[in-house]
Amino acid sequence: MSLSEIELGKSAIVESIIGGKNLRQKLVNLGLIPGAEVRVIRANRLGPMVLSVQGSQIMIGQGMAKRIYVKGK
Amino acid sequence: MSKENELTLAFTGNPNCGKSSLFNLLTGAKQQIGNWPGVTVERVEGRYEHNHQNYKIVDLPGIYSLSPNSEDEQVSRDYILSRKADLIVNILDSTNLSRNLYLTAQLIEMKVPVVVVLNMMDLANDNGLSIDIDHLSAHLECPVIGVSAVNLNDVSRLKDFFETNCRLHPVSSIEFKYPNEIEDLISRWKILLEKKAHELNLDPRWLTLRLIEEDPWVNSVVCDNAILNREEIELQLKGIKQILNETPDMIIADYVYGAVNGISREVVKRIRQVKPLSDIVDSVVMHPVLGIPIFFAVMMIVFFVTIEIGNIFVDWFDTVAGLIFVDGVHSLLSSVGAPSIVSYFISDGVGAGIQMVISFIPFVFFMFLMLSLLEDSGYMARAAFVMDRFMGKIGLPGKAFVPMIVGFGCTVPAILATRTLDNKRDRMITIFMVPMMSCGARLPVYALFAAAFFPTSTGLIVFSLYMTGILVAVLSGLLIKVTLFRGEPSDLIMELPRYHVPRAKHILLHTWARVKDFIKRAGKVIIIAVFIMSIFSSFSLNDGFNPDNTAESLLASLGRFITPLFTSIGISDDNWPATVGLFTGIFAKESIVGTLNAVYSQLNSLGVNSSEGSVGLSILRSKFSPAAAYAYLLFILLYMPCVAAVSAAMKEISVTFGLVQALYLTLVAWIISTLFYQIAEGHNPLYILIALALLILIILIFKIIARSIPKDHSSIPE
Repeated sequence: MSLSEIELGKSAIVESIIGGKNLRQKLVNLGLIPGAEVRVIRANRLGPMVLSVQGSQIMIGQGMAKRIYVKGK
Repeated sequence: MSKENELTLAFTGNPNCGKSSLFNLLTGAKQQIGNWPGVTVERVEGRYEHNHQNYKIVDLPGIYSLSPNSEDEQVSRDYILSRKADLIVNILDSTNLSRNLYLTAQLIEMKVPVVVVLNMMDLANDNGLSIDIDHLSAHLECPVIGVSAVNLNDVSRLKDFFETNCRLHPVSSIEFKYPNEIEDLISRWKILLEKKAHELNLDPRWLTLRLIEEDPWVNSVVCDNAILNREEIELQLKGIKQILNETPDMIIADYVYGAVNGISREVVKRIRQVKPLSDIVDSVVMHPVLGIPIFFAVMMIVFFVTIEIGNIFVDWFDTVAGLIFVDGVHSLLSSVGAPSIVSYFISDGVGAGIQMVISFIPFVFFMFLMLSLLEDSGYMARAAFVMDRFMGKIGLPGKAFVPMIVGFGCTVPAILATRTLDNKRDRMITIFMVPMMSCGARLPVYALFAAAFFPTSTGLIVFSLYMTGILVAVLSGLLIKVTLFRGEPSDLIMELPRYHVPRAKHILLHTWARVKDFIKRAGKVIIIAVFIMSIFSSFSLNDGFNPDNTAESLLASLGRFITPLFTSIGISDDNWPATVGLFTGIFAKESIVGTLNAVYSQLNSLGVNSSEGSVGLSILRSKFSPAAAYAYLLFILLYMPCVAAVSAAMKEISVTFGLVQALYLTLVAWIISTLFYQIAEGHNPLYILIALALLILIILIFKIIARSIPKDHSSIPE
């Protein structure tokens, strides 16, 4: 399932990223790589979400969250 | 270049790791802010002395990695690879070690002398973390020190630490291991790359790894020198992807993160659980409903401070600058017996230009001050989050609101601020809309006319103009989104910085750098414009030079010639000075007031006390009807931005873009002010028809051009 479907307060493990080199590099910089654990701190269906990744908080738009596949934890 | 015997330290680290606080602490007042040669990334240099040795610190831009995806990363990597620094100082946020160590790992792989400074140890402690520094140092095979910027003892400890390590030149010998498939490829390619790496003074393993990561620069070095060809590289990388089921760059990132996470797990112990205060604040300011009114309240405060407090200083700056550069220079020149033509050009031309630039400083200063405050406190990132949904409706990312807000101060820095946006389409739409955010320079014109025509509802009139600007901007944005610049806005992705108390010194330095930049940029244009204006307004074809005869000057002739075009907005032929005002407004909007003042007062040969600097309100009332005055203000709100802004747009996007934008804005200004005046007072159906026809024509032209431009896919990943 995609990251955008994870509920508020739940954690998940990143499985794969659907995107080009540019997107991948942006995500790598922020520690959002396959195998990383993410927790959804803030989310509402319409706007971007806030994730906790590698000890920091990341804001990510819905469009991008839809391209990150995760498995529940 | 560096002075003899001076040691250079390069500071590098993630954004928000407290790098600039440490830098300020070490260097005191001795610092310079400038731009990196050729690029626009800010560079800060500072110096200090310790034990009779001079040190220079080069503060590199805050970055997450050294894979050059942005100018910031490119500049940092180039600098580190240039080996100009004696020591690379990697500053880490102690509260977030694993992510911060990713950059450390990349630096270590470069085989350059690196030391690690764990910053914000106090904060880590407050967050319930304990870090074993010696253990970390052993793992990284690299000197590590822990400091906190609030502890003043740490400054001398840090200076001692740098002193020792500049002598030792520590290069860590640890190597990060990758899966066998990648290691095999490294050992095969490393042999081929060894000679080139040596030539470029780079580590061969590092160079090979970047080639596997598809680093564009390394790729072109390797291919241009015929070490390997593109097909061969692609074939090998594809092979790895097939076996490992993931692209090589992600595998490398995964292994590096794996290694640093392992280290961080061993050295960081959580001694107690703390719920950070910022989470509580965030649940309010980032609230889906509450967040928006809070954002607008914050923007109101920014606005209030800029305009109201700025206004207090504007008069003062204006008067003093006028006394020195206009009156002072004038009397000085007359006292040495300079001919009147010379003293006229120098004092009333150049001097008045300088006066204008100086009187503008308070607005610019307070606007930049407030923006720096928002950035430094951490609120700006929250605002981008809150606005993302709203901006998405006009096809822009949340970040794009920042240039829009800056646009209320001055269009030029707003256009420059679009550099923070990720793709060109977003930048073009934003730059297109920015001039419609009524800039500070237009405010004096509104204030003057409102005082003359609508003294009881000044605030309402000014507010309605700002709102019209925003409305036209949003409509224009929607129009170009579906025609000229189709495509998707880039998605929001950024770190949410921690809140902190804004650092006064940091903010003041930052504000000052931006103000200085503005003075330089706008100063040149305004001084030249005022100078040209004074020539045009004091020469006439029959009379030659006569500064007291503006009514017969070249400028007046030009104004009279163009005025019929503005009949539709209520400017009668004998009110040609209004047209002259629009003409000078192209150079700088605030100079409209000065022009009207000069020309009207000369024509009426009354109100000659020009030192007071305001047009007799009664003169204005005799020239415009209230409806015509408002139409004139609408025109000023929307027509082409000043030359400085147009040239900025040309520089940022292209000359054509700048010209199309200026033409579009001027046409829209004419259409809207004509419609307003004709509906309110003129009642001439012909003008209403022309205006509507022009509007339809613009939309049609945009649609036709749109068909010839391919849709921009740059934001959509492969």
